[in-house]
Amino acid sequence: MSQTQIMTLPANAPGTLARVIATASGRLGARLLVIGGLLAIWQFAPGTGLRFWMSGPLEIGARLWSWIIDGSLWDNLGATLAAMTLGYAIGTAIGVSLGLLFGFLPQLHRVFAPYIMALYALPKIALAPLFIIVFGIGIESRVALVAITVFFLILNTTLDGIRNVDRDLIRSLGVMGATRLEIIRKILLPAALPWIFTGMRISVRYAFTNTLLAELIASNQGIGFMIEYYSGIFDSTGTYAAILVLVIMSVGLTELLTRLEQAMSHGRGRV
Amino acid sequence: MPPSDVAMKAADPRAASRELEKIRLAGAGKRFMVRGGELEALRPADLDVRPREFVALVGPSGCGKSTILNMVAGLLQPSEGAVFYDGQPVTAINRAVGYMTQKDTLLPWRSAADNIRISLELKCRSVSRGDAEARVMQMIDLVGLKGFERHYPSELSGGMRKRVALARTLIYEPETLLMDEPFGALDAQLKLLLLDQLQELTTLRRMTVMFVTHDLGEAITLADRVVVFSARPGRIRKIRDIDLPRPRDVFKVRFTEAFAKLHEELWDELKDEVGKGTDV
Repeated sequence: MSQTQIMTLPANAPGTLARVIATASGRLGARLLVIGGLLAIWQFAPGTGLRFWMSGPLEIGARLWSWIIDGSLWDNLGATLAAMTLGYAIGTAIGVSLGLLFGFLPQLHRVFAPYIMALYALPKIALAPLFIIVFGIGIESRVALVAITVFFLILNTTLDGIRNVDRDLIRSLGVMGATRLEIIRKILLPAALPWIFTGMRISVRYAFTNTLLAELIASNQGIGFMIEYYSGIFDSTGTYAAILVLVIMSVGLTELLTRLEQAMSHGRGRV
Repeated sequence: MPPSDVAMKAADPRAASRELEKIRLAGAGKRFMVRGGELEALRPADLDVRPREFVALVGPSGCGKSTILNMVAGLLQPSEGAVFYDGQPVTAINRAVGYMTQKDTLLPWRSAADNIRISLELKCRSVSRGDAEARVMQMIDLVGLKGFERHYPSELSGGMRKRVALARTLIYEPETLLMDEPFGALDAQLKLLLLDQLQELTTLRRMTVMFVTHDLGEAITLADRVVVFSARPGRIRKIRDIDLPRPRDVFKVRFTEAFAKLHEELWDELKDEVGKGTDV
């Protein structure tokens, strides 16, 4: 729509460049030009001294290809994804169940609230060294860290969801003769559901970040481990290649979340 | 019942008639704490509502009409005095009443039809699925929402939401209806249609009704008695029997001479108070 507007402007018509990038194909071309130019500068500009620190696009591409051939990319990608999804699943399951329990039994929640608050405020990454002592540098310590991070986020959004239910809805059903269980099933649960989903959506990013951080701190596997390992031996090509994998992962994750969000907003109101 | 009560009843010559009251406010008053100060919403009031009686409460905003309904529904406890339902003090949520609050409490994730059906899904009603469906359809027809069954509350206008709320309250046929400005947001023609339906239904089902409204005409059209409240702190200023013959034609009754006289008389009571009303 905007492109036709720009193209039909009578006076002060924009220049050729503006007109070209107003079209979809023009925009794509411009983008390719930008990245191509940057890559070319990166490839050809640095001298031998800088090359050691900066590597080059061709070298990085070749390294990535060798990882794909020898399978090390899939092993490490798999390790990162496994730690992340496992921790996420465990954290979500416990978070939702405890959140619902506390939501339905506010007296019980009041007992635990100060401890939950204290732990919620704590940056969970500080627990990583502790988990490494307890669980070792295998996947278990990373799963534990991700799980506890996700757990607190989900617990709190679930509680918020239940706390934000309009009391008048509960009363109106109470006047109709609903039992406590019926009020939970017909009002509290459906009302809390969008909040739980929001919590789950937000937690994905935290799960991803904390998996990476845990791998960077101490690990024997994963994309974070690769970054840490290659930078440790001053292999800039390997480091950049691992970071590139991370960039692709992040883009993929963001895309997935956006899709999920759209699907959810379409389904809203049909719970 | 404590023995002293029995003794008192026996001694009280009006005890027999008291037994007949559906709802009884005995010096029931309500004060709220607002920002550290105390606000008297309702001066201690006495009011008896007989079974199957239609009582309309009129008065300026903030005069405690809604407070009375909340106390009868058991959602609020009086600060002084007591509220009785069927002779028993109301101390918990009163499940014998259907309460249509001023704010519609529709569930946003349920369609209009599903909102109307909700009371029939409760264990205490045990209505079969097919039976419930038929009654929902009948209610939708009654309140003129055909074609909007599947719409969600957010997709309905204010008036339509009111009608969904009305249908939801009427569908389980509670023996007593509490209604807080149920038709405030409706256009005049539709309002008359619904008043007609309400009159027919409450007579047919022998319901007791307490009906809060701003609209004096509406009150006189429907009620057996109109209670006029003063501005805050609310107190009962006048109780007037409406002796217009029944059944009343809601479309025409307002043009009769008797109606005009009642309206004038009650308006004289009300007009002094209206200016003092405060919306909270």
